[in-house]
Amino acid sequence: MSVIAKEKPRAFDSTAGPGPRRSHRLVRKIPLGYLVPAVVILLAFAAYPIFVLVRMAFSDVGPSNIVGVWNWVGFANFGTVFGLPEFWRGLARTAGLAAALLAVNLIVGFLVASVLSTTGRITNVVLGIMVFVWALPPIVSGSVWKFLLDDSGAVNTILHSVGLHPVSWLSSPGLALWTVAAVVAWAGIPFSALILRGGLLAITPEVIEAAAIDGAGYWRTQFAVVLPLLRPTMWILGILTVLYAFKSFDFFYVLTQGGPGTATNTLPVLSYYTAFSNFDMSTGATIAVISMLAVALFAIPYVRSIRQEPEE
Amino acid sequence: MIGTSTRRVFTVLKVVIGLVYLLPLLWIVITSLKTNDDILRAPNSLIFTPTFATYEKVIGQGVGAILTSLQIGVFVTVVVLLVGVPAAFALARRITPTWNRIIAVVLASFLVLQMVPQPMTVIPLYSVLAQWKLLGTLPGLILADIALLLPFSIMLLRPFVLSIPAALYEAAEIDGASTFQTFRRITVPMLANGIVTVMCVIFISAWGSSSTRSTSFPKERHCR
Repeated sequence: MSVIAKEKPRAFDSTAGPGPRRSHRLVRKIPLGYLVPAVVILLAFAAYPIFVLVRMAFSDVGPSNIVGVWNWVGFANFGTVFGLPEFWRGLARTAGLAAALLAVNLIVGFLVASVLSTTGRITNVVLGIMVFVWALPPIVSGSVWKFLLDDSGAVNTILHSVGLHPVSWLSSPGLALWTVAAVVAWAGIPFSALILRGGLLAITPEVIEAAAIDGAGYWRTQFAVVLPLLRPTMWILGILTVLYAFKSFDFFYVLTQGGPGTATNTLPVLSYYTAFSNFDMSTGATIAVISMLAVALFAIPYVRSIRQEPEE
Repeated sequence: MIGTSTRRVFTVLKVVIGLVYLLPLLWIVITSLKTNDDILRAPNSLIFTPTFATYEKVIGQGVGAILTSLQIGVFVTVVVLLVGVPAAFALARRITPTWNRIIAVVLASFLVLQMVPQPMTVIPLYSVLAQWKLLGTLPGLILADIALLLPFSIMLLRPFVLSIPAALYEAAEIDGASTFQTFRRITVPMLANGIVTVMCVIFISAWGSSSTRSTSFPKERHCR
């Protein structure tokens, strides 16, 4: 970086005249060719599949005609899906997961970020461990918890040794969804804590000093002064969390595969298993399209806030 | 700002948070050093003779799988960078109003692509790959991974490109550099940090997600 930074301005100084005139003489070519390969790849392997997904939702696709002719059936599949009690239960589960993740990511995330906002060696080690966990593929960290939460796993052994009854974390229908939500939250807190910590560290120290001079204690400052300043960050994090709830699939795939029974079928899980265990592609695709619409709804404010970046 | 007692409480809390994340991983490492008999007899005992037998077995049986993962990871990373770096360059150059508008549209659609849930790409990809006779093949898997990671890596690279001072581009233009020369001589060298960062992120994701994808495509047809 430094080499060029030193060399180029010298060349610039020796040849260029005073400022305003030069931009007129320059022919600025649009770097279209640099964008084309990426756009082509994404059109073929990301946009086209979504188009196919939507077409599937409006057609009759079953195991026999995945490759072949699809008959247009209009909104029939949507009628079928809205008539499925399992779809509404799946929607409720997804909303429950989103609510649980929101609460944990924002509240626990904020507390963890506050605790880790002081510097020091322990902070660095803890952050290192958390980033490591966050970077683990969900399939790996999910398997770890599947092992620990097994009926005769480590968690239950610890419960037993302190005299409590063992809990069937993943195999009782009432509890499984919340167990998975807890694991998802465990894997997600490093991300929210890092984002919120970044927001915390960006707050000017003067503000916090002023609060301290006025006699506010640490947590009082944290909640009355810092938290309101973090609102934009919290807002984005909240949207990302809800989006994640509508996307989360890997942890469910590893931990419960939608079971026991259908107790952990959130919309993504339900659409996947509808499409691939019965090869009822159309119904699966329709559920997918519906939950994608939900995602799009939450994505609008996020996309808009991201696009407000300063010009140049 | 923080009193001594609060500071002490914080240190304790930090250690607790660290343990919440460290212990599960540690437990798995410990378990991996036990023999199957140990695990069946007393799955949670801490007293056992550590053995690397399982590792020998897994590495012995899994060389093929490890090589496949490596192959996918390297290939995906290379392609994503070859395509992504020029795209990030193009998307960071706000030159004309029309181009700025195109940039805004492309970026917004990247964001939308980012948010498409994974199973929702798997369902149609299954039929698309089947049509193109790529189902259950390595190229199919690699293409799916590239499509998944490309928008993400471009959005990660773009701020790095934006942070290159505009004066450098102007200087290059005045010296008569072509767009390619500007790209090759200024953008790429100054992007070294960004490229390495993105390279690591992409490789890790491709390594992780290839295992997801090879299992999340239905069993009968998946490769290997």
